Amino acid sequence: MKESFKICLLLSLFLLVILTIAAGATQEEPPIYIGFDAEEGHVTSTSDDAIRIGILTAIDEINRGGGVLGGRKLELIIKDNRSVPARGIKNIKEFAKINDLVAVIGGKFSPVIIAQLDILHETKMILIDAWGAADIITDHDRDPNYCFRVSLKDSWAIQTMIDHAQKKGAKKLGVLLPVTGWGRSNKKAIDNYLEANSRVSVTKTLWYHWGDKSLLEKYEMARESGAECIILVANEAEGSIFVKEVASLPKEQRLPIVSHWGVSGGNFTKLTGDALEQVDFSVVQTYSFFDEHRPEKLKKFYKTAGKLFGIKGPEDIPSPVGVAHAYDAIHILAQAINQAGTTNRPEIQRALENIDTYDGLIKYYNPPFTKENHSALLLENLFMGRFRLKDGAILRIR
Amino acid sequence: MRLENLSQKITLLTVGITIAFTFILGLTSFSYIRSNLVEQISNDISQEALSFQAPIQSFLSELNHNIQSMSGNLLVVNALTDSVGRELYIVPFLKGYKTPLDIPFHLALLDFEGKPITPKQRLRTATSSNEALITTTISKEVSYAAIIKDNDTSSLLLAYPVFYGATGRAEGILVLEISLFEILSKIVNYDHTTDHYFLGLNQGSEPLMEFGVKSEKDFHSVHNPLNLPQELQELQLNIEYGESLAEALMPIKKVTRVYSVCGVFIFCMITLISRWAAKKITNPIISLSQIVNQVAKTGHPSAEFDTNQTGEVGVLAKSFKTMLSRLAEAQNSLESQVEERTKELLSEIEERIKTEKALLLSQREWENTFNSMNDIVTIQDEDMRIVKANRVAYDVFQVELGELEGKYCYEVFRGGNSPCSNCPELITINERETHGGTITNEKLGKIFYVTSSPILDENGEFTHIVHIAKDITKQKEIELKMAEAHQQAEAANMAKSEFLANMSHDIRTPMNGIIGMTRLALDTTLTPEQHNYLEKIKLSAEGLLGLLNDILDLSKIEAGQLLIENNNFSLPSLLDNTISMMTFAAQEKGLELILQSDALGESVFVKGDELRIRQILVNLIGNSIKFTEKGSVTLKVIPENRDDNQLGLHFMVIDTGVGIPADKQETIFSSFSQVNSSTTRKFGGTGLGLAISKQLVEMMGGRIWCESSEGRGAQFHFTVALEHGDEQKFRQPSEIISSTVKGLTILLVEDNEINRDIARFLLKKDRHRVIEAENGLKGLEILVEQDVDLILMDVQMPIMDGLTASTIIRASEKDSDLTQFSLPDSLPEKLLRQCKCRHIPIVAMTANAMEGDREKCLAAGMDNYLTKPFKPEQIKEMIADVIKSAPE
Repeated sequence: MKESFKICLLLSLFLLVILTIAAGATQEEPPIYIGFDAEEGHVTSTSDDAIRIGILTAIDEINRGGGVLGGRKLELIIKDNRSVPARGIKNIKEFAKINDLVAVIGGKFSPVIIAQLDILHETKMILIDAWGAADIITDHDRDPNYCFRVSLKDSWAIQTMIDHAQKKGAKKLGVLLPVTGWGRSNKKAIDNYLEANSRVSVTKTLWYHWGDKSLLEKYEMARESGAECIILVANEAEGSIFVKEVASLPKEQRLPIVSHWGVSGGNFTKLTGDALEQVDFSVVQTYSFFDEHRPEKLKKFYKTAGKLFGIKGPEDIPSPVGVAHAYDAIHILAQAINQAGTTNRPEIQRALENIDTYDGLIKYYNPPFTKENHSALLLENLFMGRFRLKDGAILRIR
Repeated sequence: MRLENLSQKITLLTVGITIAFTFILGLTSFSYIRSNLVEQISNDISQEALSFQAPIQSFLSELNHNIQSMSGNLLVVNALTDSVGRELYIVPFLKGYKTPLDIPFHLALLDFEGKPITPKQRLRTATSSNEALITTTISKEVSYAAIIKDNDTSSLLLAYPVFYGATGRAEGILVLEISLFEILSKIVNYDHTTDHYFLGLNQGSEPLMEFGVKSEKDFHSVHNPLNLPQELQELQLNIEYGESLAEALMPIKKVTRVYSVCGVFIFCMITLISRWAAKKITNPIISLSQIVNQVAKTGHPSAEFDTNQTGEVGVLAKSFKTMLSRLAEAQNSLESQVEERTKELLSEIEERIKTEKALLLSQREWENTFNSMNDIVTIQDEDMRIVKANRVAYDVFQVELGELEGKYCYEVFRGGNSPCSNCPELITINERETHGGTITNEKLGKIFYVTSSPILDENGEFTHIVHIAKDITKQKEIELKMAEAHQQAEAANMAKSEFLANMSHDIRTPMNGIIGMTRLALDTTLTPEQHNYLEKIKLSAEGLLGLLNDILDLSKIEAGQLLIENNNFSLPSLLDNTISMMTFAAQEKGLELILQSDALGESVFVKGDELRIRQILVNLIGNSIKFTEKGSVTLKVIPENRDDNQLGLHFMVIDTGVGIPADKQETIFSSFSQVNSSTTRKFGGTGLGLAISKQLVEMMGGRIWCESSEGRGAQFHFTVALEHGDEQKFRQPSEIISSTVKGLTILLVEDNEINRDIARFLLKKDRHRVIEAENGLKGLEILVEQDVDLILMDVQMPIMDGLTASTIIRASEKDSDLTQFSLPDSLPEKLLRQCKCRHIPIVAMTANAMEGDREKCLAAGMDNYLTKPFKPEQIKEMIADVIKSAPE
């Protein structure tokens, strides 16, 4: 009796050990989450689609390469802020509650991110901005600073745009700005530029609201003030209205328009139609898939993006800056996670500030961020481009 | 309390009526005035309520409209997304709003979770915890309105969703908070020192705030729901406005008081006046009654009436006076009248004694008469009890004298216990009239005819019955025998008619076969010898048929069944046809046949029985030819003058034959008679022809006679009365014959095989398609399967006769119920389908040549009628006739 009981006990123990090993072998490490606070509910915006493509392409590459932290897969969680700041704040609160969610990728709408700054720092949530241009997103006094940027700044954009206007021979500028944090950010950038450059002047600064149905009156006011070129800060909705209105005027009344990149966050050519060809319209950009100046990186990108989204060439990429920014941002983040060796966000924040280099799609980041500089791109990465009507592709103006 | 006194009664009545009238008048006018006043005040209150309601409504509506407009303002929308700079403009913008009437408010822009978008916006109530507010505005994207109750004051919370163009969704809430008390006090402006009304604002039935107090008594108010925009409608806000009626009803109270005081005064006045008036009326009456009382007691008035009084009492006094004097006069005259009457009575008694003596004498005479009557005479009382019986009665009933008196009539006459139901006496007793009837006394074996008459007194009052019974036993026996004889005679006659009808049918059927077949045989290729034989068979058969027809005619005439028809026809063609019919027979004997009708003039078209006239003519001419060896036979027609409007014709058939002896000239018109028996053998014939002719002529309103002497020829005369004919209605028979119808599908229903053969043969000659059936049922079965143009229907057949079959066909054509005919299962349905809304012509073929058969056939729905045996032309004519007149 005693003998048999012992045998039974031994057998049970043996089975238990086997099962535990088997379970350990088959059970995957828990994933590490990345959030994306996207403006999905925004009707015309395509920048959220572009950023999503960039994120997922990068995640796929990383996961196929063995994930992070020695085999943990990355996983994306998307929340919709509909471009409304209040919703964005709520989303951050919800992201913060998710275990092993290491960072949130920020979208196109600067006002949303600006409104999120407090809650981000309260919850110690890392935000990597892939589009929003307002300077304040990264340039604020909070320490440690949880916001990083793989995108441009309004001050750089304004500088590039006004330089371009000057190249076109315009010295007097009319400025159109939205009554939002982004608009004010640009106003500040223009003011700073004008302080440093006395050769150009702004004859009229005009403010509009998101949702305005016509900007013609404001354009006329700007033109009548003697402006030779219009500096436009707008997204695709108001931008397309403006282009169509200007195109409807007699040719001699159509001023060249130098636009911030908000318009490229939607299917702009589709919204303007032929009207775009009637107007001298240029837009500031950070990256063009047509340049092919880092062919090996581009090839690697096309391989994955082609498999996941059927993207074969630059024509297939909507709102290209969003794709490129997000793609590089995720790779940099993955490197930081590995470098931190944990999912603890303060650790990763520190790791991001301390990455040496990263060889990215847009450029060779050396280093991407420092404690003082949370912007991965530089002024010299910016250029002016022009929409190609047939497919909406943006080509560099040389 | 009983009021014996008239004056008290009058007083009380007058006072009572006056008070009741005054009371009712007062009450009616009081309630009328009150209800009028209340109605007027109610109207005022409603009007007043409206004057408060209207500004509240317009205020809230305007407020609602303003907030709704603001929620769509671009500045407000922009503030939703402008996270940094919005405080700069949205706070002043919202603060800058001025409500109507400048009432303080709180206006805030909230995010999608109900939190104020800037911290500077203040609301008294927490919005982020207001689930209903957020769900309604953000999820349902519609406006939200609520009343927030906070201790002593209530606020209106009104929120509108703010739509963001880029998403097309509600992304924020514009919410207004405003104190209801502030609104109402501004609008109502209630002054507690001067205002006495009550005004309350309620949500549904729950009061929100009140101005003034509801008075406890006579409070009248109206509830009016506020008529608000749809967004605010669900708040169910309503106002109550009311006032106390106490003040308004003051005049009525005053009037009531005045009415009461006046009422008491009038009551006292009327009591006094009516008492005085009553006394005035009753005093003379009382004195009058005292006098009358005195007269009643003493018989004489002791006091004089005061006839000087005026008015009704004066008249009464005068009347009393006159009456009393008349009374005295009457007393005097009555005494003298009594004396006179006594004298008269005495003389009357003397007179009566004389009369009674005379009566006694006549009583004896009456007794003698009574007893010497030959019939049984009894006098009976009202109960039919015999009071007196005569001697004959005792003789007949063989009882002792005096035994009948006291017995009941029915005991004596019938030996019964009660009168029979048809007792004439009962009728006499009830109706006071003479009645008669027959009574049988089985015991005596006698039958009486009884007459009972009432005996009335001088005043016409019923006293007794005189009952006379006549012995009619022998008469009755004779009557009975006569009836029996009559019955036997009737039966014999019936049997004869039956026999004739049967014979007619039974003989005609084989005759049809013989004649028909002979005709068919004659149409085949024959040797001259065979042809001769068959020709003779045909002649004999036709002769036999003629004889048969004669017998039938005669029997019809005798039975009164032969009817004279009345059709339009052409007289010349009748005469021509008759002459040509007889020409062959005359020529065979070498006689000349002459027609003299020149005298006819214009009387060409006449109305009468063409067939029967021809029959007579053929008969007479045939006779003349028969009895004339050489010479001629002449037919002469002349018109005859008549008194009436009819057309008289006089026909004469004149021959040069053997003639008729004078003594036989009368008898030749009787049945079965020829001049002598040897004539029969020599000349043939039945002798029925003249008898029939005579009858026919008489039926046509004429007469027939003969003028002849033996050996010098004979002249037969007859006259007829016809009507003037109508040429329009005359139809040429030749027309029908000329248009023979051919190629029809004909259903031949006939049980006799030979007759079927003949008919089929005749029909096939005209290329008709013939379908045969051997009885009515078979015929119907064929009918449902084939379309038929015409049916030839025998009448007498086994299984189903022709009359029944025709009735069924006609019924199915009219879509009638066929269940009454016991037909096989599916037949009725098929029949209805086949025959519905059609009219298939049906021609009867019958050997029943008796009159009345035709009517039976037509009644069964048949279109026409052929008598067997028929000639080929007859059947052709009939088919053409029926097909042409068919409705199709």
